[in-house]
This record gives sequence, C-alpha cells and structure tokens, in this order.
Amino acid sequence: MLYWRYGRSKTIRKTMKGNRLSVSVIFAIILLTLCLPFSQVRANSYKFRIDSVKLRDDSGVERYSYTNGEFIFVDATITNIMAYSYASEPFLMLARMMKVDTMWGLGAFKASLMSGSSISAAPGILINAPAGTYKMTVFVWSDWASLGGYPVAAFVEVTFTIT
Amino acid sequence: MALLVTALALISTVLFFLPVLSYRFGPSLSLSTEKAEYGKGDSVKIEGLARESLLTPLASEPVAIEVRSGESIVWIDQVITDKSGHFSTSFTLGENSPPGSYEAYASTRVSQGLTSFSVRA
Repeated sequence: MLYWRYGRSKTIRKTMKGNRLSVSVIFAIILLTLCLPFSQVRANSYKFRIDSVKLRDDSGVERYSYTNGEFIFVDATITNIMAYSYASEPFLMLARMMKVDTMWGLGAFKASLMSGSSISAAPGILINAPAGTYKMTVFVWSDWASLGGYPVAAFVEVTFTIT
Repeated sequence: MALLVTALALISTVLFFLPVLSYRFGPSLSLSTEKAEYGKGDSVKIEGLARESLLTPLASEPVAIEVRSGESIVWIDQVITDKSGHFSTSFTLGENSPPGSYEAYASTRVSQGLTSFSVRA
C-alpha cells in the first residue's frame, strides 16, 4: 500500500504492486547512472590575474626598444584572485620572447601567493637575437607542463623591438 | 517477469564494472605531431585532443604546452581547446636547434599528454 498527497488537501490512496515499484526505482537508478558519463563539471576559472606587464632595462627604466647584449627585465604584477582560499597557492610565471613563431628567450619565476595578495616579479632575459619586432608573452602556470602544471591565468602580451 | 529479471541482472553486471570503465575512459589528453622527424628550420605542429570522459570533450579549457630537448626548453605556449576538445600549436625550430629526441608535453587541470619527435643533424 502506498499513500501520497495530491495537491494541497486531497489525499489519494492508491494500491500498487510492490515489485512494480521496485522495478521502477531500479530503472531510475540505472538511467541516472548511465547518464554520468555525459555529465560535465566545469570549474576552469583562473586562480590568478596578470595585472600589468612592463619591459624594463637594467636601470629599471621602462623601455620597448633594445639592442643585442642588453638585459631585458619583464616586470609583471600578479594577483591571486581566489575568493575562498586560506592556503598559499604556488605558481610559475613564464616570460616567452618570440619572433614570428620562434622562441628566442625564456624567463621564469616561481613563488606562491595568498588569496587577495599581489606580487611583482621581473625575470631577466639576455638579448641575443636578430633585429626586428618581438612579442613578450607572460604566462602563469601552476607548474611546468612537463610536471603536470596547467594555466592558472590568462596570458598577457607586449611588443618590443630589437635594433 | 523472468525476462525483466534477466535484463536487470545483465544491467547490474554492467553497472558493477562501470567504475572500472569510467576510470579507463576518464579524463584523457592525446598529443601528436604531423611528422616523426624534423630538420632545422622546419615548422613543428603539435595537435591534441582533450576529453573529460569517454563521450565528453574538454571544451574551452586552457592548455599548457612545453617542448623540451633534454634539459633545454625549446617552446612553450598556452592555448584554449575548441568545443570538440581539439587544440594545436606550432613553432619553427631554430637553425641552432640541437639534433636528437624532443618531448612535447601538454597539460590541463585534469589531464596530461606526452609525445616525442626527433630533429636530424
């Protein structure tokens, strides 16, 4: 015997065979289980934000034109934007110097940041590349990709020239 | 009724092994290059497919890509998967690229992939 309420006041009494109910419940569980492979869990919002990227020479002066043999410092400010986190989150900042589709230099900086905190880092790259227009791209990953690291911030790109 | 019980028994058996199948066909990332061997100055294209499960692509997901030749890093990039979970990156090998074996790694928050190619002298 099974009882349930229908609407606000009516109570309907209905008889149902117990095994029919069991079969319905089992089918419902089977259907829900079979739907699991189709489910998606999306949580790919970034943990960090690159606030600014400036190129500086060895005197700390912001500059976007360099010559061979000079050091270029990629001054980036990074903020941990996770709202609810009490642990310090590690990250790897990478600066890629690229012309067309060839990498000519790479700078790296590894640290960790508490939620809501910011840090400025300026890894240096010694310029040894032909003259032309280059792009400096700053990435923030959780670690090196070869160690299972993945992107934790949208990248930022700036353009400069080597004369 | 007997037929129904048999069907349920069969489905229950499948469900019993579902965790194993889910693990086998869980998050995955396959990675490949167009060729197995390249020369200096050649363009290398790396393509990949990221899946969240057997039937669900990992769409709009950032991917970190790193190419290494031994201890030196030859290329890094960050791309986003399309709605089918596909992604690609390409770069040109420098004229001073050392010959030998190169490893390409790609990584998302749920999966990692690896492929290798060689650069001839």
